[in-house]
Amino acid sequence: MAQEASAYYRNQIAAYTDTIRISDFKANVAVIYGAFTIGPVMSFADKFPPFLPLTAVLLPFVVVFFCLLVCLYPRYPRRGRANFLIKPNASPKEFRSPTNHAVTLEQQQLLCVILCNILYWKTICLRISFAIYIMGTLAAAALIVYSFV
Amino acid sequence: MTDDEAPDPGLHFGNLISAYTEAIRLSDFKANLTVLFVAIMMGPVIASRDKYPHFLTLPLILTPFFIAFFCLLMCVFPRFPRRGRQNFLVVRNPKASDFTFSDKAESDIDQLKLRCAILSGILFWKTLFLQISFFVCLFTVGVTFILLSYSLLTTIF
Repeated sequence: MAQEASAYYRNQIAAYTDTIRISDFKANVAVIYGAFTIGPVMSFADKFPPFLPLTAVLLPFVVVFFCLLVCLYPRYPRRGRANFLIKPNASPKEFRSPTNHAVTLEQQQLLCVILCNILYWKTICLRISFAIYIMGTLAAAALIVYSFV
Repeated sequence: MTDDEAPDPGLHFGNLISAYTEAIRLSDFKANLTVLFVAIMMGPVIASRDKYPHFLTLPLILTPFFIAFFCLLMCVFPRFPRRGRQNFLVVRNPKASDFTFSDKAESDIDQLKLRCAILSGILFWKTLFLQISFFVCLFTVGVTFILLSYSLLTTIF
């Protein structure tokens, strides 16, 4: 029974860490994409229609960068620190093996909760920034079509 | 297996080491791409310096960039602490005799614990530098948002 529960939590943890890793990868690529795009956008500022000032174009970029950086911000919540020490001069004696399987299961359960929370905030920030990117791309496409018509 | 049985310490510390190395790898990846992001952003920011308000001088604009660069480069700086050298040699001319196998289980567990302690220390410094650089980036982005919003509002009204 204990082994089955442990395997279940281990799979959950693996799924969460994998999804978090993918989210981080997406956020990293998106932040680089934004950084590459902002240069050409700024250099074409004099060709924008009069109702579209450069500041209005740059504001969505700034919001996206903020969300993506929040998404990537390294987090190690305090409630998980007992099982995952992060100290400058940790002694090997501070690392103890769990005394029984019940403790292991408790630790795994806590890790699931922590990872779930981290993934939630990452997904929120990623969704906001991707929604802004998609809307910005559609707006840019609409403006280009309008300029040709 | 029952709930009262003690789990294998070797497996526990092995998992912990995997978690630490994974977190360190992820920190390095983030730091590498963030340094790229900051470097790319530096060009457009400097190029449009004539559009900034008079109180934003070039040295003031460049300060957050340099702080972020310093912290990110410190984060990706390769480190192999002295206390772990015994089991993970990084020397110019290693000999075959430098690598000896120990069949004592107790010493294995001690080695795993030591490795956990070393990786914990490495992760601490990486996280600290990464958090400082992200904080600087977030603060700068926040200030930019306020300045752009103010500029946009004064243009509209």
